[in-house]
Amino acid sequence: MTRRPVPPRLRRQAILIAPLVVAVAAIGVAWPRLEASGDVCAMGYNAFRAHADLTAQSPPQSGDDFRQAETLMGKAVSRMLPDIDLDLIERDVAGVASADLEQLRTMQRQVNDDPTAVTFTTPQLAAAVRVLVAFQDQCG
Amino acid sequence: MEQAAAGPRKSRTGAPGDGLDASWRWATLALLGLFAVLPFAQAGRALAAGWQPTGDVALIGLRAKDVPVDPPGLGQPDSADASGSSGTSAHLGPIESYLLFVPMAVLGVAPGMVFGVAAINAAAMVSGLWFASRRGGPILVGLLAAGLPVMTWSIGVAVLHGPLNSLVPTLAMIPLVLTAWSLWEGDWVAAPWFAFWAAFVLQPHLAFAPFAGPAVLAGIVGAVTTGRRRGVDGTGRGYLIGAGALAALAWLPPLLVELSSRPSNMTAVARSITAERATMGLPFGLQRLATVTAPAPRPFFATRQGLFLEIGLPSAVTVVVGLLLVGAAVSLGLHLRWRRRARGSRFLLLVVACLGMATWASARLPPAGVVRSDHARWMWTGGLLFWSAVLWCLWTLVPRTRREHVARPVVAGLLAVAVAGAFVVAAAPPLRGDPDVELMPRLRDFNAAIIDRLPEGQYVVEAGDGLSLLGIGPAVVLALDDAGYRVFVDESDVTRGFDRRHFYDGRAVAGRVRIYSGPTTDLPAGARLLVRQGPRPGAVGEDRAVLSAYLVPA
Repeated sequence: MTRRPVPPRLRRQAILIAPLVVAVAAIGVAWPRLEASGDVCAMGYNAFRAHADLTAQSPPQSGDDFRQAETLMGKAVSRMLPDIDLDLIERDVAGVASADLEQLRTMQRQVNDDPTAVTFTTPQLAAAVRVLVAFQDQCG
Repeated sequence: MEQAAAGPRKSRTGAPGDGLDASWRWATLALLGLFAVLPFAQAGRALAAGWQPTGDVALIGLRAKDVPVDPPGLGQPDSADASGSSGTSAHLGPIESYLLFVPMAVLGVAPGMVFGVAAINAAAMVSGLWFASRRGGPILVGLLAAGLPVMTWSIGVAVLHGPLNSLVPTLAMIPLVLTAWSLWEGDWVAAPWFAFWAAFVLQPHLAFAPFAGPAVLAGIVGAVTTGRRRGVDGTGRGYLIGAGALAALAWLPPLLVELSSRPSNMTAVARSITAERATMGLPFGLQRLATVTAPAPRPFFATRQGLFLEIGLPSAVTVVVGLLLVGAAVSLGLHLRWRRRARGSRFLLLVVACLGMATWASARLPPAGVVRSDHARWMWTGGLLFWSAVLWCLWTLVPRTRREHVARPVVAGLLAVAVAGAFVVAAAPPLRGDPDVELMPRLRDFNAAIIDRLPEGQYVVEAGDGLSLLGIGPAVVLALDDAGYRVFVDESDVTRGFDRRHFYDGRAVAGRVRIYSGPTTDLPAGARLLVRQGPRPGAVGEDRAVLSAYLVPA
């Protein structure tokens, strides 16, 4: 049984439509994160982790990278947690950035329930925990 | 001129003339002149506003100054290991240091740096528009010329004079893509330009490699296949030999390092790229692509972002429209190919290939690297090229008689936008987009005061705090080095950006110059104040810092 050849016109149309089909599939790939997050998450969470990673290098290797991350983080935090004192999270975020989410949630609950029950080494650390939990919660 | 008199339909290079006569050539020349002057005018204003090399830019200046005594073989150390991978590597080549050396030697450090970068960017814009004229005629030139100032304004006008290695190839990506396309078309004049722009885009910063990679590959493969199909005449061979010589010269320093070091830099770079680490993932990469290509609320390259960008996640509409447009652009490219308009097809598909590779690289970024603007500068250039290519390809589908009927007002409109945009850029605050803008005017006086009070001799410069370490310290080292002092820094991870000539080797020195931008609580005993500079009235941001320099005798 011989296969009938696909008419050239039809083949061309199929090839022309193929990129649009791929584009639709790409939209499907790009879509889920859209629902779960907002621009503050993209800007803030990544900036926060970048800042923490760069700080952890102690000292960072590129001044421009560091200051850029710091600036973005500050802006994101001020939008997400407008009541927080930005000066508190200037430093000491490296420690909490390496903690996993459950540890952070535990620390955050302790802070909420009884601030005096938990001894943070610095106020900065407490603030950083709060910021990171907020990012994790809101950004999924 | 003979063609003009006959009402040319195509130029000698095969570019569509769209019925425009010889006056178009004069308009093109005037336009090229305007874009040749614009970066110099902008650099002059930046200098007058107090531009000074600080931070990473000062390190680049030190490297350039050291060319005759310690020729660099690689670019600045990269921070791939700061982005989640391991290993120490450097950007691919030192071409920026070599190019800046001559203007710095002739004009001095600060003027040499800004005018040197201005010259490179002037060459990028002029050669880009010239090859746009050779390939696409008046409409493509108009589209790019109208978009260039808009993009410059969007990214920050400092892109015209800023020597930051993660910034300088931004405009050069445009002639790289256009010369690659030209080689594909067998326009051998483009070969030396292609060789130069390929080296200049690839060497200073690794972040440009993903976008530039497909263009470089297309230029080389296109030249080989077209040359074999059509043959190369004597003139063409001359251009190709010149391109080969230029490429060999540009890549010789990194090649020598590559052959003499173990592990080689390329091995270290490859390890950084392929290291197991958390990445942002394909959804993030596709969202960036959609941000670049979607027209809403206006094209990305025309949206005021600033040098230190803040890119939020795109809206659902942007994702849908942007990605569908990429698909439609590929379909358009294929359609043009079947309609025997391979020229437009190649340009459009090449730009989409560059965007695709940059998208993949974005998906591979670790979270720590994603907020860095050096990983995103392709978005501006890619956006401009994408929209120019799409609109120009659509234009070629318009029937020729209708094109010739409306070409003149369309081109005139685009050129009017280009000229107006150039003036807006020239009049913009000249330091917008530079790092350490608030500190620059102060640093000039601060450095001068240190030099005035520091006896001649050899010194180690060290920093007392973060800002001193990252921004002010390198500026002081460069100023002292330029004033004739022998200056060293202690070798550490954070001083990798200094060239090895400045690493302290334990020799006898007159003392240590300790720099602060704040409290001096850890000041060693015996330290003597050289300079203290308080903030100016009404100062904001980093400008509030109290700068001080102490001499700690050996």
